[in-house]
Amino acid sequence: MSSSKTTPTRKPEVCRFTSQPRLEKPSLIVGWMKDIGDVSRGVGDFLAGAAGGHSFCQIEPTDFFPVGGVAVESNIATFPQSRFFHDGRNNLLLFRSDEPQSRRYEFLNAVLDLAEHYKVESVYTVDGIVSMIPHTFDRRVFGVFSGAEVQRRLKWHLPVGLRWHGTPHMSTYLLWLAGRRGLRAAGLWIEVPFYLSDRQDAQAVRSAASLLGGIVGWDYETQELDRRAAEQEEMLAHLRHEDLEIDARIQRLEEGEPLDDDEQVELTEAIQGAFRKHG
Amino acid sequence: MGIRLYYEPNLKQPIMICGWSGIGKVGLVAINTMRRLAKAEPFGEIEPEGFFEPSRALIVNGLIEDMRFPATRFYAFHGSTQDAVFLVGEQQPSDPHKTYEMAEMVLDVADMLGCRRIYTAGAGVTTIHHTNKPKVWAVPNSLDLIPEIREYRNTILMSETRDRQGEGTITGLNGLLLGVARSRDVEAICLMGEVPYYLQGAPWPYPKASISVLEVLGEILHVPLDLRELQETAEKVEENIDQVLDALVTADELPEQVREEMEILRHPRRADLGPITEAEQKDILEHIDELFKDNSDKEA
Repeated sequence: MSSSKTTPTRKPEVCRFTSQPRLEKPSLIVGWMKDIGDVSRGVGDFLAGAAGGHSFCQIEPTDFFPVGGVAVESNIATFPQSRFFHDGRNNLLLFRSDEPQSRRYEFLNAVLDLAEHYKVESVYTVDGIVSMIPHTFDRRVFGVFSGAEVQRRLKWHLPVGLRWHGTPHMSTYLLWLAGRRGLRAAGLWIEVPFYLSDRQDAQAVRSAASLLGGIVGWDYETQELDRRAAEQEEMLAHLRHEDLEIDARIQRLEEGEPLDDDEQVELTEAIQGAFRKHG
Repeated sequence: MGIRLYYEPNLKQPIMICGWSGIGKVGLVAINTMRRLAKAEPFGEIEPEGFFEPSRALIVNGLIEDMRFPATRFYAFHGSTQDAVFLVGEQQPSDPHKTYEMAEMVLDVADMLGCRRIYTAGAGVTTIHHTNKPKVWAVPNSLDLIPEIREYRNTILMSETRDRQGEGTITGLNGLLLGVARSRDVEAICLMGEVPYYLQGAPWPYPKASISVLEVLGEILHVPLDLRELQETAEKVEENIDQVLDALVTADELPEQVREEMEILRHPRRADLGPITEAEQKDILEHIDELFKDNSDKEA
């Protein structure tokens, strides 16, 4: 019933809208551009592509990022991005952004202002977390919740809660602020083997997207994610076959034997080097 | 971002005394010690979100149980002759606009409680030696306050310091609060305990300067303060400083001129530090700061 859909009437000041989509209590998924194993970015890329790439709003960068010039990464000039996408068919909002460099409180509140503006049903964050598991193991997903009610609602999808005492991640800060507003919010933290943490862990991206799809109920095709995950597994199997040292260390992880710091660094360097060599 | 009062204290013509974290944590240590010794009761705070980044999160079984921010808390003190409000700020905002906003909020609380005067406490960086007793520099926001300041013990005006001729800058909230108070026609005085210039980048507090500030504030409030515990801490800090200087002077790569200056710093009897040139100050600071940095890296 289109008449029951929410039509924007007030725009948060730091947001620049190019259109005003109509959505009915959508879910908002937040994906950062850099994280462990590129999980957040990978899920964001997948969703932005699957949703048809309809960006309708961006947060103006001037208050939150240095804008005196541009950073060059891998020969390309970059510029901070903070964009909202929508998919009316799946009733979904997606926010993809670099992490703000300053005024994080105002930035995150701008995201939540928009969430409230669209009367979102729930907010979800997705991030990678470094783990000592080998890549051949299933990626476990830990949940962080803004309150007990949302934890109960998601207990079948996210039965294991994260434990943490330390500096809060941007996603944790967002979830906490959402909780203060009475918004339902949950964070998905997906394990990434330490030796894959500096590149995209396609298996973790697939696990995250699959779990999130189960929670939100979208109808996107995931063959491309499956293909990339299979390609990664194949590549790693080939590396193990090619380099017995790599194989021995991964095998020790599979047997539950920890590697010392030097061994971890060596394994990571060997695998990253091999990935670079094989393109 | 707002003011949260747990209750509204009933105070009679109070003065407000503020201490924030800054160089040598002089103000923070002084006012926190004072509110503790005076058994002042917390009655409110400035909500930290928006002013500061969260410093710690506690997540238990997936639930965010706590998000810790640096606190800016108000305490009420009922004295026999003078009531007071203490403000203890664990951190200062890094954004100048937010610093101004916080100054306005503090003065809103002062106004609401009928505070007749504001004091701020901080550090005055100068060429004093760490074995000497720090003086207190006082800067008022009105000429009328100068005769009163002249009566304070161990206290001098900026014009009486060695090289400032009454001019200078008070950075952060200690200074800004004076200015904003002036624009509201509220009397305010900043009290700064002297800190040796070569310790301004040190990661540890400089309690000796806090003690000097506390001695002045104790008299203003007519409260006897037992500062023995702080004295003991000051002695320990002094021992640490001596160790740092000993370590520096034996470092092979030290230029001869800096080594000579270090030798002077190591021997209190010869410790008339001034005047020294800005270039000399810079040289010594660079070497000492480097050592502090090395030590903090090792600790990290």
